[in-house]
Amino acid sequence: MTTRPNSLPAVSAMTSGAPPGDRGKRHRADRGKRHRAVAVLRVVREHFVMIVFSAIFVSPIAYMIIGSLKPSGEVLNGLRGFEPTHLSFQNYTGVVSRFNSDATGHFGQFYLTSAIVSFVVVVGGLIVNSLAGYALARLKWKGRNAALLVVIMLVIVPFEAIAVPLYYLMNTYRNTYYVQFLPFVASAFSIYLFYSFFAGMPRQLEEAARIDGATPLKTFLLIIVPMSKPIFATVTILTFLSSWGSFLWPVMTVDDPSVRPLPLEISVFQGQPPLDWGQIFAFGVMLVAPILVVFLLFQRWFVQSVASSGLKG
Amino acid sequence: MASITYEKVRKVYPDGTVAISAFDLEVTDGEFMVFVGPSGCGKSTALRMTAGLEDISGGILRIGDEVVNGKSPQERDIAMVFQDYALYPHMTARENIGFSLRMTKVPKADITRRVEQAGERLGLTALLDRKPTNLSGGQRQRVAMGRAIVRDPSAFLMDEPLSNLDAKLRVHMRAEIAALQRQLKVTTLYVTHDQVEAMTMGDRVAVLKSGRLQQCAAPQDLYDNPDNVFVAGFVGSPKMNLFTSTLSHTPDGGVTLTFGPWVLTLDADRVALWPLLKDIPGGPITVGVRPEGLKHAPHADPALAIDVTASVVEMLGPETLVHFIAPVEQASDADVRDRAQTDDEQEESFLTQAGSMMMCARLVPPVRLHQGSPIRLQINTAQLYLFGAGGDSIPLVRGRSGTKLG
Repeated sequence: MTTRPNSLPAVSAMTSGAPPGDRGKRHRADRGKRHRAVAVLRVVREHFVMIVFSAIFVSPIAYMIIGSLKPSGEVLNGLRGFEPTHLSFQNYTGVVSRFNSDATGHFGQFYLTSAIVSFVVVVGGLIVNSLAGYALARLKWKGRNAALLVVIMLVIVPFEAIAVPLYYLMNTYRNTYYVQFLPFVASAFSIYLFYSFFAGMPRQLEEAARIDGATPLKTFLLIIVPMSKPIFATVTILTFLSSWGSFLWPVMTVDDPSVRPLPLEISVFQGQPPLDWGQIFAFGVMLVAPILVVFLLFQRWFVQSVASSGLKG
Repeated sequence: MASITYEKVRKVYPDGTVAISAFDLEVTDGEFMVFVGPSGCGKSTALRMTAGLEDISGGILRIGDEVVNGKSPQERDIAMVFQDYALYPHMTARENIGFSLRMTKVPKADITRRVEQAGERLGLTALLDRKPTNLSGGQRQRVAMGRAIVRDPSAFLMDEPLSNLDAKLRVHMRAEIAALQRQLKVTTLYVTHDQVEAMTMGDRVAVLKSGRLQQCAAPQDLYDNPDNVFVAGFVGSPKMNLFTSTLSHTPDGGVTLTFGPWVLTLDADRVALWPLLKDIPGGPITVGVRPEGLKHAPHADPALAIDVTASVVEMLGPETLVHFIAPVEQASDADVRDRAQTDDEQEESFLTQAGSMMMCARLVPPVRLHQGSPIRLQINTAQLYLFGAGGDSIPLVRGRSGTKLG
């Protein structure tokens, strides 16, 4: 038997009767197959974990969406509730037609109220809170540290604790849009988020802008804001989420159907048995849909922000 | 274009830290002035005060004839190049360069023309529509330069603009910046901690330490006539060999310098090279010899030379650097240690012990040496520097030289 000393590891040449060159090829092929099998297994395992978690997170929403399209009697039916049978938009039309008089209010009007209030809270909040955060992070002024301390303290005060005093403060504005957005435009939490983001930005860009002749406001608008998309997206999503779903405050301050926001109307379904689960689910879907839209619009920067905040520690 | 004048300028931070004390300097119109010193010496603070990014605690700062102490950066008509370039990441190179013009409401057509001119001058024409993330380090550096030159300012302020580039590119950009400045003839303040950069670029170099100006002179002057032991140790690479010695006066008007086992005798004629030396009482004195002041002299009289053993031999082609351990006391001045910290050249070698130091000789080839070779060196007294007790230089009158060791 002739041997090719350089082609193979000595051990494999000694332990098999096949020509060493062939054995080498086979050995390499085996190793390649094993690697591929391990890689495939890893992908399968990762996908399995992700599918399980996705199912856990998605199932309530899927249950709600499917239920909203089914007749009421079939909605709350254990796992069979996931079964898409007898689908129709009847529940949706039912919800809309339930609110069709001045006494009950109009469904479109609730949507509009929620949209107006959330829009003002989000847009007004972005302007006010980002400027406040920038002033705390960058500008030099007397009492800045004290103001920052107050902001930090306010972050941990729950809304329920100030709801009653706030109610008395805003009493004259009951049953208006103002009462719904005015107390929420300025938010200690948003200010703090902006503050921490701006404080972590390198100062050199602002210094460069100052030397280039930009005023502080122009520096903010032309340099800082375009570089701060992640934090603006984060604050947009968080503010919209809390504003759109706001319940306690409207319950206290609004009873005129023409300015009632959407979430309040869920109580209408709860108050009148037998409960129409199909319509409740349809209402839920219509309530959640705008949140999903806003999240999808801003999620790219939101994810970036979460990722970078992790990096910054 | 304008001169920049500092009159007793001070910077004290609210916590009482003095960053700059009584800084006096005049940078003439069109001059390339380099501020150099170890970290924390106040060079960047001086630059930032000039830019208007730091308040001035005391003294007067003039740009041209105008006192600018209370003026904002944009009122000072200066342009600055930052260490990290500070390019706006969301803007293209074109928008970055044109930003200052946009802020001063220059018409759009003018902005386009001037940005393109600047781009052309810096070889950026093809890159103007790229964002900073799509540019290499050197290209970003050029965009930062473009942003400075497009405004046609009275002065350029540059804060370690090359420190983020790799060594090869740094040498290249060094030459480009110096050439550009000479073309434009705009007064330039350039901050660096790299003494090679300082020496190669500046018309004059201001050496700072602990917020004080140590010396300001043309690079060669600084090298030849350092005012004190700090400047002597800071300027030059490899650095000057600085060690303590004992000075004694001889009855015939000469002096002896004793260091380690060696005694260097300077007769009356040679002592005359240091007119002030005769008035200095005997005692400890700091002696400095540049590496090129040590000459390879294998056939010299042993009594007139020092015999040492090479620890490290670096053959560099045109010169050979020989490092050796000398049984002499390194000048213990804190100044010398400062230099070691800043220049990444830890002078505290693991080879040396207390009472000995690593010295360096720069020899002219051909010299056939290797680690462990015995070597005989002669000190050229023309290259000998003497420093008094306070670290100040004892001035040397140049033109004569001679050595007598024994």
